[in-house]
Amino acid sequence: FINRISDLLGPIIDLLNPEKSGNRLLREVFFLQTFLTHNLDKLLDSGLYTGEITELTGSPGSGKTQVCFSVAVNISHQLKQTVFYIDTKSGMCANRLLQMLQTKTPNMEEQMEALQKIKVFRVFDVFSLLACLQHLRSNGLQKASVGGGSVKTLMVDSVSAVLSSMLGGKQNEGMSLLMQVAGELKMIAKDFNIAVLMTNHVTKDGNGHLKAGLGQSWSHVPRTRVLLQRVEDTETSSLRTATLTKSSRQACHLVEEFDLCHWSEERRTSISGKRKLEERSKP
Amino acid sequence: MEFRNYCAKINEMTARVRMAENGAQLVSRLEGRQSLRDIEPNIFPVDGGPGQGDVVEFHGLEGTGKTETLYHVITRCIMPVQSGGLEVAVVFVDTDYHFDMLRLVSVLEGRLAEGSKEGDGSENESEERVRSCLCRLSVVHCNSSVQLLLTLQYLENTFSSQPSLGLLIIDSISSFYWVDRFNGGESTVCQEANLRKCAELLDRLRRNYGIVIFATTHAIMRNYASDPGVSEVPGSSSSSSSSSRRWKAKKLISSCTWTALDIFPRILDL
Repeated sequence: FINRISDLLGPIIDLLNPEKSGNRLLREVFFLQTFLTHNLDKLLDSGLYTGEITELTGSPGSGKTQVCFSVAVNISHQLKQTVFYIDTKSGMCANRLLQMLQTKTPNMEEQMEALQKIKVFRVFDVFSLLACLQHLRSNGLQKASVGGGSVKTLMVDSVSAVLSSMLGGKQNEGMSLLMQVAGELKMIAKDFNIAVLMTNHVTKDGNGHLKAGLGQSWSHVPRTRVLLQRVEDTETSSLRTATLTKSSRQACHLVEEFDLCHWSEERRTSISGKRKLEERSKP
Repeated sequence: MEFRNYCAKINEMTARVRMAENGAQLVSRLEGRQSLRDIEPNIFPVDGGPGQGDVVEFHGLEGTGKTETLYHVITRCIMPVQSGGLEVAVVFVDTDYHFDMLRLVSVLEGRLAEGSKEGDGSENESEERVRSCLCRLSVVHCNSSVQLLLTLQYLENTFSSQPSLGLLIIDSISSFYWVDRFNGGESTVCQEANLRKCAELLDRLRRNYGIVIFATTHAIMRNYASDPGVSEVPGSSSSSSSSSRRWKAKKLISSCTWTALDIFPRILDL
């Protein structure tokens, strides 16, 4: 009860702080360079920004999970910071992370150290997702920063997998849960100065154009949105395009192309995840 | 139940503080705040901007530039008069957690650079100017409608004691819509209760202190019944509103939020 009251009075206590919040907020922002590829970093205005939510959308197999893996590996290896990865689709594959790390450094110890900095949570429905986020907010994040290597990134892959089944029909509970998840993610991003990266599916709007899933209310939540698409006509190509569809810092609809196979050594069978099954089934 | 008693006690305490205003506060209240009529020449006509006690709502889809417009409004208010500003203090209540300090500072720096004619200034000086401008801005974050209500009650005290505070911005006032609607159960009265109290508080603030209130609301529901041939509002500069269908926020929010307010200029539909 006391915690709840102090939570509610949080903003008032903030206001009582003699240093004006304008100046105080200025000191707290910074960004993380993701070293994805030069192109993707340019798209994101040099990287992921802390205190903000960035969303990756795309149809299945467009590379969202691969991009998340790459960001996680880069941040844990090059920036030496802890990454929290919430996996709702069982897409997290440690072998793939290891493969990506092996292209960065041949040293086994460094690889293991980087892998240890990526902490994975598996949740499969929205209530456990909310519980996980609330637990992170109340004690998980502080503990991680005490134990060495501050936490600067939280990834949720994917938000739509747990939320889309709750929406629809006339019930309000689905929308309320959606906004609660949004609220938790925003509070974590803001209070702990963390960059939140999440993935979402796509649907088509009235004109046949792709748009992010989960509806109108969710579209207000992320600050930046990137749409990933496969380059046409080649089934087994690993080329993808990334389009910036929402940004408060740059002009929208910038398109960059990148190649998934640049993130690992194998150039021939470089597609992991969904497409590999198709390859194997071909004669 | 205990919680409600606690809220009632806070209410009492702030009521007592309100009643015991001293002479200086009385003068500042009666004198009125600085006029913000020429706050944004790109949106409002000359001398047609919001007067004292006016409420302006920015309403639109995501990505149409509501928060961006607010950054420009804030910059105009907090800049010193010699750089073309109004030197009015601003309180920004952020319920969306969309407030981007870097973006505000880049807008502010751009405007300050325009305002200062000669290239005066080492980096330190311009940083000093930015800091002195930012001293006029207070940002509060709220993540539930109860928190918003408590914050507004506290802010009443701040408004009475600081006569330089002329603008209150709430971005956005519709972010707790779904959560409140679910928590209120079947009864509409319960669903709207918190927001109704916020609206009453805002009405009291604007009547007693003459501040201007800017609020944004999201367009969260598609209005299928609207005429697809409606033309765009002249002067709207948003390029992302390509669809010609007008999207409206649900009537619940409109009626609930502005019930108690006399003046409701929906000046801009972005």
